[in-house]
Amino acid sequence: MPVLKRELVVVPVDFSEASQNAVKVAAELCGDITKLHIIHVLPPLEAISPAVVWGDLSDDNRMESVREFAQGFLDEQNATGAKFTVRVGSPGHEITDYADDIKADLIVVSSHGYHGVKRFVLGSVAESVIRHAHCAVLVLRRDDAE
Amino acid sequence: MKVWSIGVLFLLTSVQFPQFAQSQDSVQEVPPEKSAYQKVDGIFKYAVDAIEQVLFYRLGKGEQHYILFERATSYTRAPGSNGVYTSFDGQVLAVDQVQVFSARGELLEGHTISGEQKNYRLGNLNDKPVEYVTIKQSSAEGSVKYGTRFAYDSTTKTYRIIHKKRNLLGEETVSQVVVDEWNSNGWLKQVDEPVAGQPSYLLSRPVGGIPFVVAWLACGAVFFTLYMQGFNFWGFGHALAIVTGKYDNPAEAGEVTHFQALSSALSATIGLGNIAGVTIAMTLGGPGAFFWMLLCGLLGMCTKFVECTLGLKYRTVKPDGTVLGGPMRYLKVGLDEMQLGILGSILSFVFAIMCVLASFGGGNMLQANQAGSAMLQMFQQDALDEYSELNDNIKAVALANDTAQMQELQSLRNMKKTAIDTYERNFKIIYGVILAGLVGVVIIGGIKRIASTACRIVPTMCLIYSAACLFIIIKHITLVPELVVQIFQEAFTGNAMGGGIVGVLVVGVQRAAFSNEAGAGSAAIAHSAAKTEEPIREGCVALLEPFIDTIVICSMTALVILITGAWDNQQWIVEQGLQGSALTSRAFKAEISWFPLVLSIAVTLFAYSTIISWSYYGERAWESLFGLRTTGLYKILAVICVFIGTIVNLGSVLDFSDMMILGMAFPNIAGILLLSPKVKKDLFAYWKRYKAGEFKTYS
Repeated sequence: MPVLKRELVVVPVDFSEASQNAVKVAAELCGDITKLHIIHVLPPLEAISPAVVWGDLSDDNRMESVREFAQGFLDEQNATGAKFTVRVGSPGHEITDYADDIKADLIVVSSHGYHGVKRFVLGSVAESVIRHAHCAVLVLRRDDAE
Repeated sequence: MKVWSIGVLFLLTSVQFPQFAQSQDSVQEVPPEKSAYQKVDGIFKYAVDAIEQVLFYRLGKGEQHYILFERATSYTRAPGSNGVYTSFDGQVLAVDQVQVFSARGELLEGHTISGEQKNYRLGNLNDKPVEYVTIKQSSAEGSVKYGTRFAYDSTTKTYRIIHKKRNLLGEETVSQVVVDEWNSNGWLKQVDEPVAGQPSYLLSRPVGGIPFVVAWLACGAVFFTLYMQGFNFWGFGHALAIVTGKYDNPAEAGEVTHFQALSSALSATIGLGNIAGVTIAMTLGGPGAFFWMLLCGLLGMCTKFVECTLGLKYRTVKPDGTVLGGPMRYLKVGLDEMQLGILGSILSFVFAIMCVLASFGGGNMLQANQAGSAMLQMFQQDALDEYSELNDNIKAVALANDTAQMQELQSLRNMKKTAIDTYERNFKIIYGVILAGLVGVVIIGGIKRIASTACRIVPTMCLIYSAACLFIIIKHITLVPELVVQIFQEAFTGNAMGGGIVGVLVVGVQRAAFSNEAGAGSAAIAHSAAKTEEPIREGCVALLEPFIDTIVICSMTALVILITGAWDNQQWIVEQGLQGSALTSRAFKAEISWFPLVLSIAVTLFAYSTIISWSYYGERAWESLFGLRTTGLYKILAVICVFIGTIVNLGSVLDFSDMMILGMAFPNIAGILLLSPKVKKDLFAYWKRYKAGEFKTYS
């Protein structure tokens, strides 16, 4: 049985506790922190937000803010040196597209573990990633999953 | 041709109006099967009535006893017979005669049966189905018309006439003897459920009192003004300085400048309330209501200050720099800090639900509906004028017994009516598709330019509107001193409403509160996006909102309506039945003939920007209920609502959703009352630093 290749690892984060855990697990699996690719996907800009209608908020500003925020996050998670990327769009697609682009070996994704109505309404980013990914996917269950 | 003239001759000679005799028999009305729309409307009506019982429960209301003169004779025929009608005592009424009565306006309006307006109604006579017509009659001497009301005056034991205009009591009275005679003739409407010891003809209606929600908003506003020690006065100058950008630090967290946050909140607030609502207040309450409207605007400033300060204080800044704030958050987080977490969660949840519904209703469907109607009215003005002229002519020839001419005009009128209705239907569908499309490309498609352009025109439209109002006011400048005196006198005498301070106060306060939304909590969502780390500073900016909305723009409309006398115009209000924005438009037309065109464009733009801004509020409330990733569903619903709002006239659905805006005030004011000590503490700490010159200025 071939050993799971895990040189280039992609971790999607939403800066929640669950995604902190994912970063930790991925860092262990990967060994080399510089091979760790962290991605955050932003929802598309609301054209009706006051900042768009009256101000000058753009996706570029938002991506810049996230990058700044992520720097602190990575430092806190002892993941300084990992590559950080921000994309705008639907999370499932953007994550797998990114993994394809960099020819990742593994995606480590945390799951909120919703059930019932929430699951039905929200679907799951993890599910979408599994469905669209062309590489191995490791799904981490939250300890207190519903 | 020959046959036709013989027919006319026959008709002219044969129209002998029967002598009316009264019978105690009566036909029970059986309304026709309701259409799908009416059924949906009916369901909502229950909800509206229930909410109305709570929101608009009138504290300290009184009762007015009155009688309703309804002398009439009914004639029946077998269903589907198309033949003559017969009264209970055997008098015969031909179909032609019914037409003449209809033209004279002496026939009780018939039912709409399978989409067609009939002269007759459906009913039951002794348990047998019949078609019937009811001819309205005046009193024996002809002075009292069908439908006239008389209020019972217990001190003089007489009945005084109630005029249609503002339900004012007139000079004319009738004695108990006459009333007894009328009653024995069966000319008075009877109560549904007779009360022991009271005559069965004595009807009653609630009068006076203060609706609960109005009292809630007004008490809140008075409390916050006193508690903040009149900050709306002494903080006003500082508020203006902030809006000019003096303290704008681009490095601080947030999305927009103070000025942009104010513009954003104003675009949601300024709309139909400023044009239609104020006109309604003036026609109902007269000049006195203007005074109370201003006072409500002035006190509402402190409510707005408190809620928007809290909006910013408890907002969260997301990693991408965008913010989430508003009552959903401060009710939950703020009250949680005070160990009132459960209450906070409930208030926040109730608020969010009401906010979503309000964004579909008052912030969306109602706006689309009214804007569509305003546009339509402008395009159809000539056709409508011709139509009402035709109606007048028909009435005139019917009174002159010229039946042939009457029938010719009637068929012309019916053609006109069909044309008007068809045009209306097509126009509304096209308008609805365009408006829904323009909303859809922005909120679903994310096209930024359209929303931005439309909203940025709003301040310009406000200026144009205010300029037109000022022009009219200056034209009548000589009337101003007299009007000012009248405003102050009537505010405390309530002459326009037949006396009493409460009536005018309620009218003024209610309309001002509807217009500036102080206490509803909606504006806190927009203001929480401001680029500042000083919550008090944004609160200061927010207090300008009721000032601009109510004290500046509502006043403009009110002064035009008062100074042109439109508020008391018998012809426009009673005869033509104009109200709200139609009356505003009419008043402007009398002064500046082409202005109604500008007004309709302004109304459409106001409506559009209100829909866009309210959709943002609704979406944020939706996000707090169902999460960010389901907002797509909200957007689709919002676009569908725009279309539905334009094409259908679901009165109760609109009432229901419009009430939600006021409903939001319950959880919101309850929460901000509890949180206000924190705001007060912050305010005085901020002011101390301000006076000590600690704040850096940037321009």
